[in-house]
Amino acid sequence: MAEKELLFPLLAIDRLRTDTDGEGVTTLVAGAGCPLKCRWCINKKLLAEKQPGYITPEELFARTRIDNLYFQATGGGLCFGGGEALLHAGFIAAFRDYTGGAWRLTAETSLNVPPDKVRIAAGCIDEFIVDIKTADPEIYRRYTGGDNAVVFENLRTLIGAVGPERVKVRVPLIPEFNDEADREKTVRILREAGAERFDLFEYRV
Amino acid sequence: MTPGKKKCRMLREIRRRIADENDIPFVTEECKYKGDCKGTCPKCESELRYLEEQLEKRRSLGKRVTVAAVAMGLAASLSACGRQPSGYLEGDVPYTPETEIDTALDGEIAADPETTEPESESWVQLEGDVAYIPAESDENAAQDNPGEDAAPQSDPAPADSARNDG
Repeated sequence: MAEKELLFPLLAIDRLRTDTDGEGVTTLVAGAGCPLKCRWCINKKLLAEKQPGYITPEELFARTRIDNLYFQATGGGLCFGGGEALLHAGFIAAFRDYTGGAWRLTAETSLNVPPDKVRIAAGCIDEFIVDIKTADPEIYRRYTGGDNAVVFENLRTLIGAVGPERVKVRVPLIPEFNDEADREKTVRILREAGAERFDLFEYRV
Repeated sequence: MTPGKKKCRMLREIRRRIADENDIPFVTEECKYKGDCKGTCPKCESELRYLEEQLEKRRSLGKRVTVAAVAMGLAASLSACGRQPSGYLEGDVPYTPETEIDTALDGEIAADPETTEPESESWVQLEGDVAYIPAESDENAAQDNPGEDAAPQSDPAPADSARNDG
């Protein structure tokens, strides 16, 4: 594995979260870098302006182990977000190797990443929270500036590798971009791709 | 009760359960602070440090130590009372180097002090202008308890420890 992949561009660490990042008490670890430019990006300003500091798996462990007991007692751990967490799949795999299996690792991802990143992530992450946006290529392009051709292929790969129970797909209503009909269509396509767990919600802008 | 107070109470309950499970004397008192908080404070974290120390003593004496899953579901119960919107960080607790404590357990990797000095300029608490409103859940599994099959079974440990891949 390239040495560069063993460094994580850390933007933020946010402790003692519950509910939003999977099971138990979690710490959000936000990294820089994202292939998309979403219109309503929650961290656009941060991602654009903040210079990340690069850390090793050992350093991340040192910064987060303060909540080790909470993680273990509640089945929690770290949630990698950002930014696009799976851009750092190599780092997360190295972190998993370093810490072992006691902490639950979750990743928030658009799955708009090279397929090899998905395969690496499948081997080291316990739960995936997939922000799919929409299945409609044109709406996706207008909202994110990107192409979603790879997203559904990656979703099939991921579900095939880890099973649908470890993949939660978030399907938003995006003001000014899609509607309920589009969301329902997206869910149907997701089911065909093998997804079984959904979180339907609405962006508040 | 404010979100921070709820979180504080939940974390104290987790500490109490860990203490009970391991026969550790644990005296704690209701926080007297009247305002909201981030869910933890130096006093709370001193209790956490105390637990770590006591667990380490038990290990060194060859006694049983049980932490994994002793408070499963507790965080979800808090969330059910006042669910946080995903991706919305207001009110959460940023990493603060002042409150970092040594929580190394038996078998953990000791961090190199040379590499653990926080880079205070390299990260900030996230801000968000977009939150989300849960509209509907269609999960087959319990929404707030995903992946219960992956409960951790051991302390963080070097590479040969079991994974949760299953």
